[in-house]
Amino acid sequence: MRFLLSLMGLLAFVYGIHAQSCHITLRGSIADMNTGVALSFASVLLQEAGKGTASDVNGQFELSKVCPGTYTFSITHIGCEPYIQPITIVRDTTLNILLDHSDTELHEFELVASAPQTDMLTRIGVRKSEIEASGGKQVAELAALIPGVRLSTTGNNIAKPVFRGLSGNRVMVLSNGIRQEGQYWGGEHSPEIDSYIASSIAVAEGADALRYAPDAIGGIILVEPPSVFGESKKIAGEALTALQSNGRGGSAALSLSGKPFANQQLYYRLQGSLKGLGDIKTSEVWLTNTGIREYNGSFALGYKFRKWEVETFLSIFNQEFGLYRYSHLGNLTDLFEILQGRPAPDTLGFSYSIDRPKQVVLHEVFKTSLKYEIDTRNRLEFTYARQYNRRSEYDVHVGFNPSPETLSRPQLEYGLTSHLGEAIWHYKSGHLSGNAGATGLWRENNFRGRKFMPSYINSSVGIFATQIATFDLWKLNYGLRYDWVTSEIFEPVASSEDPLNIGFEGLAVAAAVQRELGEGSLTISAASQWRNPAVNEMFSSGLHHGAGGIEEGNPELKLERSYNISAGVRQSWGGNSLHGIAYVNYITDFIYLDPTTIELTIRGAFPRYDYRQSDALYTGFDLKYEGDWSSHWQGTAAASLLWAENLGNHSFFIGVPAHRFDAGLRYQFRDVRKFKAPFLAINGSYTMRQYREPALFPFETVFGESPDTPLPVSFDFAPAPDAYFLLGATAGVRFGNSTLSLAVENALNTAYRDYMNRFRYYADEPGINFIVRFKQSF
Amino acid sequence: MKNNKWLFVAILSFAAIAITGCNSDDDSTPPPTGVGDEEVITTVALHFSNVLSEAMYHFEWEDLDGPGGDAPELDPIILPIGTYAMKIEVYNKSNPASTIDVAEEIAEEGTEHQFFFLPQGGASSVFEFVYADFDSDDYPIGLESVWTLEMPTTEASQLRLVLRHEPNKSATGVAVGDITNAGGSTDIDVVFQLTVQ
Repeated sequence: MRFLLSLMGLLAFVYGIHAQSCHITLRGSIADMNTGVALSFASVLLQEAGKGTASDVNGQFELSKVCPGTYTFSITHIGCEPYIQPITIVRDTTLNILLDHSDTELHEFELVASAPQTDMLTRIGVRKSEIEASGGKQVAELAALIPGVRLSTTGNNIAKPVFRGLSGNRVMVLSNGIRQEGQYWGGEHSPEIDSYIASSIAVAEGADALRYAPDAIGGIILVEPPSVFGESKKIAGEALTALQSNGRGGSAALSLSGKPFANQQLYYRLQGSLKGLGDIKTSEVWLTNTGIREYNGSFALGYKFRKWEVETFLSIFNQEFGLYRYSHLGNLTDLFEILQGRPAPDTLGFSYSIDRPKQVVLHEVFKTSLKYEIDTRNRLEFTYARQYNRRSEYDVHVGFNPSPETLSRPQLEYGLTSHLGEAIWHYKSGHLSGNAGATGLWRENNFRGRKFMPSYINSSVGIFATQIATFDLWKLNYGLRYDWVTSEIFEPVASSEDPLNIGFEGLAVAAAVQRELGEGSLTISAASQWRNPAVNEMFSSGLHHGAGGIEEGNPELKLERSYNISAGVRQSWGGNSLHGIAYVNYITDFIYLDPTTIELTIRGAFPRYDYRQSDALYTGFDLKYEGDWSSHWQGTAAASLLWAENLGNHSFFIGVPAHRFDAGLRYQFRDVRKFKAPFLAINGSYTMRQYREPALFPFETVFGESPDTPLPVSFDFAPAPDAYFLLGATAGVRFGNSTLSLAVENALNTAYRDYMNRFRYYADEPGINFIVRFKQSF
Repeated sequence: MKNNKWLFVAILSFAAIAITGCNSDDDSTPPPTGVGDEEVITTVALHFSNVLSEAMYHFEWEDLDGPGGDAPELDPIILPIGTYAMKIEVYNKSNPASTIDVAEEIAEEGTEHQFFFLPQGGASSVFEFVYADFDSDDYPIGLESVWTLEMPTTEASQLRLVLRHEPNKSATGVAVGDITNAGGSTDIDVVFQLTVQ
């Protein structure tokens, strides 16, 4: 069961491990009072201790290393309001809790002494409550609530997570355990995930990540839906909506789940969401053609039969969005004129319509998994998943004198189908627990339209084993993984072979040791992982639409390998907790785009970038403080610092996030009659200017002289934007089964640009935005 | 027996999901190898004909494999002093089997396109031009123009030819060939070496 607990990722931080007196274990089970059915995936939280967990499939939960004292103990279950109860703990305690699911009150506590248990592996993550408080945002924006996670954006509709400076192929996004294959299509694509499906988002790294893949050398972002086995009523659900002033639209979601037959362990969950926004306004102007439409749905079924548990999941994600109309570049001259302050065309005002340039995205997942419990210590898990991704890019220019057929056709369309098979054995024995398994992945990638990247078929096989060993104050976590990857590439530009076969293989290893120190812990981790060059890095060729450059792949690329060391500290005192982590990520043969020359094309001069390899160093520090100062006042503070360098030529990479600092203050009012837990919160964030930026592109020399002008080793077209401060506020209240909140973002209507936005050359970030969020459970 | 019935229901439900999940997109998957059918411009040809002598001159800028790959080939423009009618031809020759006349399509979409002729280096003092073709709103297109080359070039000179898509043709100066306020996005931007003898 241990592994399942760690899989939940529902909890955020586990603090407070006391060497002397803090050895109490609180464990128990949660069951439905009426039916006696175990309630799995209930969130269990000891608030003052900052300890939380979730009940497993048998309704069991466990919190270890609790200090004696009085705590606020809460249990939350899907479709129910959180229940909060004071509890005094002086020794190992077992709580057999019977929840009346219909009105979700704790009716009975049964206190029994029990043997102490070991702590469990935890991840840094985002809680469901935080996800709901940010309802309607994109998945990457939700992930950015995790310390160390930042955003890389292309306009306002494309956002990708960046973890400790790395993103794209190096940070894998898994939704419901399935990797988002569309993320391999380059930097300007969001993860294709309905944000309303997420009940938790967490980062896995080191040995924890080896279970999923060897190539996520930056880390893995896990987006998990709630378990289908979570509901014991025939039908329960929740409806959420978020309406916002900027863009004059919003989103709405509905989920229904339940267990239709009292005597059968058959469960379902049906979920869907809609989103629609028009043009976004900066602090001054409407950004033409920045609207978005989204409609998503998912269906899950689960069935338990003796020692078997089977689950299927189907989801469909559809998105259509515009790209800012005046971000379109014909050539470098256009860009130069825009940067020189070429007047923007007459602003058209607000519109809901989505025209070219635009993208249409489709993402489908079918997954089925089968679990078999051999005995209480051993369990087998088999998974099959099939995924289909399609992205259609509609350029602003549809050719000359287009026919109706041309007008409706995208200029470039990618399609990717993948099949994944996985078998894992989970075990627990004494102070050891772990898993071992094998995965196979097959994918076919092809395209229609403008040729930029060749079609290919790729297959990989991996075997892995990871283990956790716990001894008193020490905990060890280690693992290894070996993978074989082969690709068959059709019509590669730089090769006479067709199809061309290439292969890579490699070993990934990771280890971590944790030592408890007073009311806290120290963790030292080390890992070495590898990533094979992607097909676009080896064989792309041509003008990159919108990126203002010609990209040439390099078939000679070798695999890149990371050597990562980090030291993390957690410390708690009173109601305060502090979590800090310092990391160094040294990557050999880091693959990046290196500007080489200026090339002439029929549309004028463009810089040419070649894929090259060099050693790179990413190092930084993430810090988060949370304090419960009294029953009314709470405060948070966070800092994220990062330095990166190309060690090969001592230059800076483009698009490394600047240092950032956050602070928040929250006041909780007393309940007023039916209105529970009203609160008011303000938060501010300060993002520095990125001074570690590449040289400026020499427009004057390039336009004035011959196209053979040598370019700087690394360049950008404009200086990094200035530092900025953003202020926001939220107020909210609960009544009955409803939650209402009102938020304001960019409250000062600050005009600013962000270095991590590819459209920073063209337009400001969004201005002030009011959001109303409402949630109704039933 | 009762259990078996429910088991049957469960299996049937899973099968239903599996079938819908697997069938929905097979027909929309593109073929394994993609087809490059982008509408590119590979060739810009300038035809000068002397209005008095009717002597013909022909210069080309060509990049058959598009951006990247092989470098483009371009002719230097060498012309005697005189007055010329100039006509631009634009082709997509990326598919050797069928050449597409893009100029014809530009003419049909005249309101959305305009050519600009920009002297560089010593060229500014040696040539003048006027547009000779106009769109349905009486703004110039530039596929046809009349050029006056008054004196020989004495230093390195270039002619930069730009085709803008969706320019603001009513902005100041744009109708007489000043690109400063034109805006829009660039479809063609090529530079020819220019020698007037």
